[in-house]
Amino acid sequence: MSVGGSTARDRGRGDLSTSKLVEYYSVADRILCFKGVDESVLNLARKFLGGYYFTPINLAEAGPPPAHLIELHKNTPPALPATDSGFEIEDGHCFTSNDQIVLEVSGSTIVIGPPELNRTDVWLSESTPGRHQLALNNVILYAVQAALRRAGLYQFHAGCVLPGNDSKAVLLVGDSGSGKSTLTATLLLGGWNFVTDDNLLLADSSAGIEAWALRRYFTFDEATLQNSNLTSFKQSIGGRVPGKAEKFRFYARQAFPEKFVDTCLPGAILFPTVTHEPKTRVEPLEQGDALARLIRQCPWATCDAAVAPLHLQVLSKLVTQTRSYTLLAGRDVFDDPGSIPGLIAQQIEIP
Amino acid sequence: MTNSGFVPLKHIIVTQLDAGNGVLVDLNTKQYYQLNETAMLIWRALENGHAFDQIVAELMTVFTVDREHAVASTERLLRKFHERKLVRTAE
Repeated sequence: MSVGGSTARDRGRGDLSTSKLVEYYSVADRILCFKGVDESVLNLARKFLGGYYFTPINLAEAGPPPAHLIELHKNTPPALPATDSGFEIEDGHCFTSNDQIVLEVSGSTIVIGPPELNRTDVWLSESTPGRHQLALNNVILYAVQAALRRAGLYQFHAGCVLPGNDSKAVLLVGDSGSGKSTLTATLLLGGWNFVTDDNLLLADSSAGIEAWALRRYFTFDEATLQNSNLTSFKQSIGGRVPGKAEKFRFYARQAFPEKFVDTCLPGAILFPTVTHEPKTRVEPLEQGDALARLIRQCPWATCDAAVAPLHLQVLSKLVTQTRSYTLLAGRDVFDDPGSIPGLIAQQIEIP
Repeated sequence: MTNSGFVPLKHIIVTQLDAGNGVLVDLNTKQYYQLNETAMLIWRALENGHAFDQIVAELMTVFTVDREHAVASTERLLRKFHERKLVRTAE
């Protein structure tokens, strides 16, 4: 199966520019183009993108052509590949072929075209479960992530904080439950600047690997909000996160407007893990171990073959431009949170 | 001079770090392997089509080891690369 048609660059300045069903968004110095078969599908995209640092732009303001086109369809999707190739993904399956990827997610179909086309086509499910807002968000997320990777932007789950105005950033990398959110909240209250608590983009630039803010809000569970005294910022606490009922949205940029940084160069990576020791401490980590941990955190770095070499190169460069540490978070994170920012700043080297 | 007898497979990606070590990623199986400096040197030599004796000589020079040690290391690592289907036998 293949999806023919023009490329994002061909269409960015051509027939799409006069259509009302086309929108352009700027993210991390790239432009993505969204085309919808009607208003209802574009609304889905708008709603989704509203939670992230995607800025709508007029075509006239856009300098370069879009890096990638995402087209949303409602008609019958192409048949799924009759092959056993591929692997399971959350809520679906990924079929791989030489030049394209097909994702089947909650009854929707996503075709990520060959790299030279720079386009992704999405056929949204017509089934009731497939039309659930969470399912549709998930589908658009997969499509947007693939488009971003082809635009040289690699989504990465990590907290990103900066100890000073002119300093490089510290990335907090770990699975759910590793203490990442608690530490981010602690450092935020300790006066550190921030990019994000958990969701950023990595991009290669002449200055090095950059981290860009992606999601507009933090997510904290109730215990973290209370233990960190963030409940005092009532106006910045939003509703529960759909699909993660234990988490609340926290609009950190509203609570600490002067502390927000949209992009930065990481200088250190911390891999936190919760211990029952009284004191928090850090231990240096070899570059090879750090890279292996980053690869584990980025499944698409090994699954999206078309961009995997570039993706892995970005992770490798990130490791070489930073110092990496395991952070063994002790009970003092809860008992004496005020001491943590200074303790971390003292124990790590940020080149 | 004959070559090493092995050629890296195309779906294996390598990324090297400052210290000379690195990581191999098998895009088919999604497995990754951490390589120490010795393994990385041998992998790079395979990419460049170096002969077995040439690889042994490079190991002896770079790591200041005797020939017996270098031959044993090269044989062991080539066997591991082959067992893990990271290389194919040269035609």
